Amino acid sequence: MLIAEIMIVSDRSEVLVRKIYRDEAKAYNAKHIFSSRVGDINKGLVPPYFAEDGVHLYFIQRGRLYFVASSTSKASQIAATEFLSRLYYMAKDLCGTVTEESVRANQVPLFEMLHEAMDGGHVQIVSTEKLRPFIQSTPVAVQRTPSTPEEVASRMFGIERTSPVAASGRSAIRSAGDQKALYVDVVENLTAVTDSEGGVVHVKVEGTVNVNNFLQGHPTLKIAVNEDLQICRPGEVRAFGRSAQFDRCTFHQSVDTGEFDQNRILKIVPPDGQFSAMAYSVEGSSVSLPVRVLVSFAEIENTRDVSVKLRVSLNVPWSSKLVKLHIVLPLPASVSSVSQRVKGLSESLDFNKQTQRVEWIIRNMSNAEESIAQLRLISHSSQRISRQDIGPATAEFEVSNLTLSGLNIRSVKILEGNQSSAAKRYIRYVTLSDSYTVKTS
Amino acid sequence: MAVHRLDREKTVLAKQLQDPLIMGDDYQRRFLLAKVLSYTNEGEDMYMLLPSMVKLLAHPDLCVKKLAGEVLIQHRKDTTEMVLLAINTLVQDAEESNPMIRGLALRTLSSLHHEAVTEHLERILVKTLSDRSAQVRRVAVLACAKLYRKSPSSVREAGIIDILYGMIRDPDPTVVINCLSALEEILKEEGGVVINKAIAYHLVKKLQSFPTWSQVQVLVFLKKYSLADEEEAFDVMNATDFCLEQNSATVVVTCLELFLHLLRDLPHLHAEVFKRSQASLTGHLSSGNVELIYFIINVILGAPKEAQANFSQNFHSFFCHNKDPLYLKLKKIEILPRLITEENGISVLEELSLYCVSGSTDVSLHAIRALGLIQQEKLFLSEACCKKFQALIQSSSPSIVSNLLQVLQDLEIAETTFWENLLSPKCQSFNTITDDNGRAAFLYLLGEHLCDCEDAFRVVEQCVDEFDDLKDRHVKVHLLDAATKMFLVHPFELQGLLGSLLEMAAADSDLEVKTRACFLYRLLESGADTAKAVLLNIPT
Repeated sequence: MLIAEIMIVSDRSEVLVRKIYRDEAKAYNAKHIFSSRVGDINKGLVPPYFAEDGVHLYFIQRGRLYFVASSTSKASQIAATEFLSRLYYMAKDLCGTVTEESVRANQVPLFEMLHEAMDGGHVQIVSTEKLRPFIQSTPVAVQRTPSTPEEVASRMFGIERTSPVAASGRSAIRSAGDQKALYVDVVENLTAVTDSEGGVVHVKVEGTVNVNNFLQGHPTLKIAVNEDLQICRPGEVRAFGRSAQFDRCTFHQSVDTGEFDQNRILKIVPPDGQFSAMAYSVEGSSVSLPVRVLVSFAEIENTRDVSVKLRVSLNVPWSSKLVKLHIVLPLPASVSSVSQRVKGLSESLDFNKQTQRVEWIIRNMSNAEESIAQLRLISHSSQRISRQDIGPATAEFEVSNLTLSGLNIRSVKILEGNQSSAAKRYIRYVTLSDSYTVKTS
Repeated sequence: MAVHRLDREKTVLAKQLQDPLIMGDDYQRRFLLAKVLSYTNEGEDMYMLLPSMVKLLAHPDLCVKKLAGEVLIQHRKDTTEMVLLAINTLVQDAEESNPMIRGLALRTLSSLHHEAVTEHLERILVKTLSDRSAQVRRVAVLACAKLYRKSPSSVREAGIIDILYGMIRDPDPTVVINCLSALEEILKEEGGVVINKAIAYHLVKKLQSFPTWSQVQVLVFLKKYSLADEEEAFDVMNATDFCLEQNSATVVVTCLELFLHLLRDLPHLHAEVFKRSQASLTGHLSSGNVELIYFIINVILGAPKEAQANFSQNFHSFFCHNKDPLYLKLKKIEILPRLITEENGISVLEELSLYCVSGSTDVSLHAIRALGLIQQEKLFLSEACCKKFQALIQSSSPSIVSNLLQVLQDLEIAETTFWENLLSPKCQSFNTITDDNGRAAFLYLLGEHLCDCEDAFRVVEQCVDEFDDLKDRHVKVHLLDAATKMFLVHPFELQGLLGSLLEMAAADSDLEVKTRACFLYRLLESGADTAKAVLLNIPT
């Protein structure tokens, strides 16, 4: 793999950091090629590899930034993509968060990172740990107001898909003299399809245990999870009951699973910065949906209008909290306006004529509460509103302090030598909807 | 105006570079240099600042050395003088006791690609290739390749190629990989680095202890090893097959490629190789890294058919997520029909029909196409697909209907009742089909399947009345075909209509429409039986 040039580019195709590795990069203008297509790229129309005039471009999108690599010879697409992803993670460990603002403030350390990651177009360094000694400049943390748990959560919402928990806007590299702390975040992403009455068609939970390590030295961690956790081999029949059951479970290479089978303890010698110690998935009926959305229709007599009822209820333990819920219901073009009546909690409910959909936002709902929106879809045209053209509805939400898989972290021990350390540790749980669809027909 | 501002900016920068207050502060100094570098990267001429850059190469701050060096490298073509001035400092730095400084100086020096550097570089390289610091050796090895680009003879004469071959046994994995990469570049014209038995076995033995990224490179280079016999291929595979279950997608896929290469003469084993890597590949599908998922699906799409069947049990992992970018959704829709088995068929079909009514026209079109493909290929689902088509045609969204009609054009469905039920109700609401592609497709379908229906005649009649307003070539051509076919079945009802249509079309400005009209006219002239044989496929 010979990469001629790497850039970090904003979604307005402004180059924030750039490093040229090979002379070939001067013979073409990768920035120009990228910016000529940035409109389509922003819309997701362009696949993450394309070639133009003999120049090969690879890119990944993270938030509103692009990491772009270019070369004149064809490289392995997977290798290039994974390399760029690693660069992103290193940048994240370096700056705490990777946004346009923080990249601008950290041009120097990021340039150093790109300088060391490759030499002459050959990959040299892909881990924060090995990078650390080469970074001479000091990363700047972009200041934010102190974050409450809700705030941290609301920041995750829809911004970053890969690792939604920006545990703290701190740099792993800079933390040498800083306060010592360890963050363990359990993030679960829900993918579900239900019918209009709430019946589950397909449900899947994908979870990761993310560890954010700001500890000094390399102390050993012991993370204990619930003892009744089961990992099903393919084809095995699931036991009923309340215990957590995973269909698949993989571990980071730094995890020693020697004690896992017996005592459900993960022994970790953590690398610096953020990594996901464990990734797992649960599929099928053992998952109960935290948010239920029901849709029902009725024709209104003597008119062409249709009435739609959206019911939303929350089914989570008392300790959990719904941070934000966003429901979208696409409507056919024949609907010209919508009248509404809402019972229960609701922040806003609007009919967006441009996108032709109803958008409903609810915040801070607690357990067993229910909100009902009664909509009347009004048609001014001669066309009837056809029910099968309404929907499917999609919901996007975030619930803090909840795991759907039942995974529970019993304890986190930090061992320095033989002693356990007093460093601060934080454990957080969050459930996000990756994709939640409610069928309407 | 802009030029003036830039000139002023440069003068300010030059002044700031002399300002002890700014240059005395770590942060401000580095930031200033980053600014100079970003102008350089934008292609601005920073020539007037180069003397300061050369001076800064001797600055104790390593970060400043790095940045100043980079600016100089970008400008090296414009100035021999500055390069000559820089050499002194860099050569001195290359003797420093701190390996970081040695490495950086060597890297800057080799990247200057300048004649004046060659002789110094050659001398320093021979020394640093055996440096005690691994970091310096890494830089030195790659510097050989850079030197080769400028002066091939000095690399050959100094015996560097042999030294590099010898260094493949270096204890540092990155040095090993850099050696291979450097040799690959240097020996490009002779086919790249030669991996003989000893090297191959050494690499295989070391593989497990290498970090992930080095493993990838080793697997790539092992492809170049020419095997003695089939047995040796299996030895190599046995020693490397742990890579098929690694966490890194790149390692897995590179190993997969190596295996397919080793087994190129034994294609019946390919499916087995995919099966081994199946667990780790599907694992990545839920990683949330959309770009990676896209390429992994591409890899699976390239697998032989029987290997794709292995992925059927994980068909849920290939379902679209609301937030997936468009390119990924289309890729997933492309692969879903191939994962269908008797057990999961209905689930996949239900999921695809959700996409059919998606807000995005592209997603909808591809999903309907997928249904069409399933209808043709999977017999046990063809009826279920036809039902989906019946439901979709009633959609009030013009784009969905138009997409559906375009897909139906290419389907071979023998049942006439299916077509009657589907098309005849739509004839009455023909005006709701608003785009030309949809209209063209609909007219084509009428000609093919609905020559016996009063409502279809009305549609043709209406189009003939509006002929002057029709813009699209395909609409006109399909209209001609449909009218002619209907005429052959019901000559009485359509004679007048066809007559005036042919007249208008023959005078059309579009050559293709004109030719088609003339062709049909001549065909009809040659007799009804011939025309029927040609157009309706009825044997004479």
